[in-house]
Amino acid sequence: MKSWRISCTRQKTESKPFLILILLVLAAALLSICFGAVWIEPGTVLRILSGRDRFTVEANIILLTRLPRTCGCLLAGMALAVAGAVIQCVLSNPLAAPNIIGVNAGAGMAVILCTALAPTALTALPFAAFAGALLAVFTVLAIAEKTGASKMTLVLSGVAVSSIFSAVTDAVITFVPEALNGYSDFRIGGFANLTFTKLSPAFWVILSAFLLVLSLSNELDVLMLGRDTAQSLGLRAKPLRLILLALSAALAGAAVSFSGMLGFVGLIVPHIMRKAVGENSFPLLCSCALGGAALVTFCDLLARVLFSPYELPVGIVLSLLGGPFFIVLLLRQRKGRIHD
Amino acid sequence: MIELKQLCAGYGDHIVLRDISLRFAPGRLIVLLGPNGSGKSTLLKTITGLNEKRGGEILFDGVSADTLSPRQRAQRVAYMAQRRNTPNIVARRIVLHGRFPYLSYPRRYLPEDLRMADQALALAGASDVAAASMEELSEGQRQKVYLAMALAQNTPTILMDEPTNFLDVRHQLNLMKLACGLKDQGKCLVMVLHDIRLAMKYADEIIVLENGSVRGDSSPGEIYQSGVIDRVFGIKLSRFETGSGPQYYYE
Repeated sequence: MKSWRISCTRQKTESKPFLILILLVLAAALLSICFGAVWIEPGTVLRILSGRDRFTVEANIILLTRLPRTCGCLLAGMALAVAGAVIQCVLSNPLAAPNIIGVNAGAGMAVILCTALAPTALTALPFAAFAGALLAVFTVLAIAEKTGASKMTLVLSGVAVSSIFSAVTDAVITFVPEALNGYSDFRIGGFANLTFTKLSPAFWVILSAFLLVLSLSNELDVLMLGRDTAQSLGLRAKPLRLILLALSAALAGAAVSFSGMLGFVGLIVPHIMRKAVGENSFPLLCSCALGGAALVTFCDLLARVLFSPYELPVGIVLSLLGGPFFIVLLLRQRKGRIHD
Repeated sequence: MIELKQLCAGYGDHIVLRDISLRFAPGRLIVLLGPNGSGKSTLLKTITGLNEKRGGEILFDGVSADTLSPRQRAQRVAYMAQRRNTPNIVARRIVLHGRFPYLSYPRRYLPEDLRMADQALALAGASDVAAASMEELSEGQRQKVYLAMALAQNTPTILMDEPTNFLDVRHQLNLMKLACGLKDQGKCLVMVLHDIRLAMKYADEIIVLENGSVRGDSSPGEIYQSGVIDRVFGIKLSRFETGSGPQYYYE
């Protein structure tokens, strides 16, 4: 059964891209733990992670600071990339990303409201971001459902709701300028001061949503064939699209709750992975999870070491590296097109 | 066997089909002809359940379509849409999705499904492109793959909306011959065509639609005699006998 499934999903989806991605993730994670204000040898890192050397200074640095940060990078990259892949597939729109269905605007509004109303309640920010993202997405879904949930309606209602939420954000900043301090960090995105306590609720949300999305991979494939074909194959396209979008909102909202706005990951990683493994949903989702995790972790590493001891917000590095890379990919894609 | 009784359908406030009563029997190749906007595609979509009916009844082997779930309906009728997305997925995988209506959550295809997908690919003459990505195929080859997907669905009735689009003449003839072979196996094929000559040559039954109503429903010979095509399309259809049967042309 297993070997048959592999043969059936095979096109460019050989195991090679996955091996490379797994190695990249492992390398990124290890380097992310080794690098920092103090360089810690990989051997020492492995000893500490395997449970030996628990009471050294290095162990404290790793277990309290670098490991939560690395886990945060891996988790956020994975969740945002998978959310992006699902949204692009469901909306049949290659430009779609978590921000299109209101995640960024909703989370941003919630964070600014929280900063303005309770400036000292910093621990509440991630939860506010998560709640805001979900509120925005469910508003978009509710409007879209009322009007038939066509992919164009979804995108348009996403744009409309995003602009309303952004307007509220700007209004709050106008009346309470001090709120901008907490908001600017969140807007650019970053992983400084992460703890396992902060990560743990997001981890469970992301894990469950990811497994559910994977279990719907065949449905995603059929949905990609277009609404008419999908429904003629007995798929209830409308409720399925809503479920998948809600799962993407959970993935992206959970990630944004601790990482800030890293929307670009959700746009570029699925595009890169489509080139590497094709559009078959199961391998695509798995590769997006690995690719997103590796990309965000590497970018966070660069953000920390490029101007050490100063640290850049990871969102800036992601955009500066990812943007040009994405443009090159688009140019190559245009040249390589066979049938338009 | 699909029966339509006083079927009405449309979009929004606009009624497209009025009082359509038809029977699609096994072992028949039925062609829907009609000018643009006459309701041909709407009829196929309404039977498939893509478009809600406004009145009347659709029966699958005597069972009302209203009582069937989308999955049950997909096990009774396959539909080749006029327009489709072309994802970067291997052709064989696309064909395999024809087996989708037979799976329940969590849907995982079994070796039996793969066997049927391969058979369908062979029947549609698309085995040679089975391993290729859909993006690499020409429109004609993609059409064959989607036909194979409809065949893998293994339904007694297959509805095809303009299946000869994008096909060159040789592939159009091959498709019609394949359709004849399928009807000989007992399947019912209902297709929308714009090529009147192909329809008159290969169909067992021609249904002529105009403004959402049936203007004629008969064998090609009787349709020709009735002159309904001349009236509906505003052309002069002529027939001449050849060694391989009657041929039609229009001016």
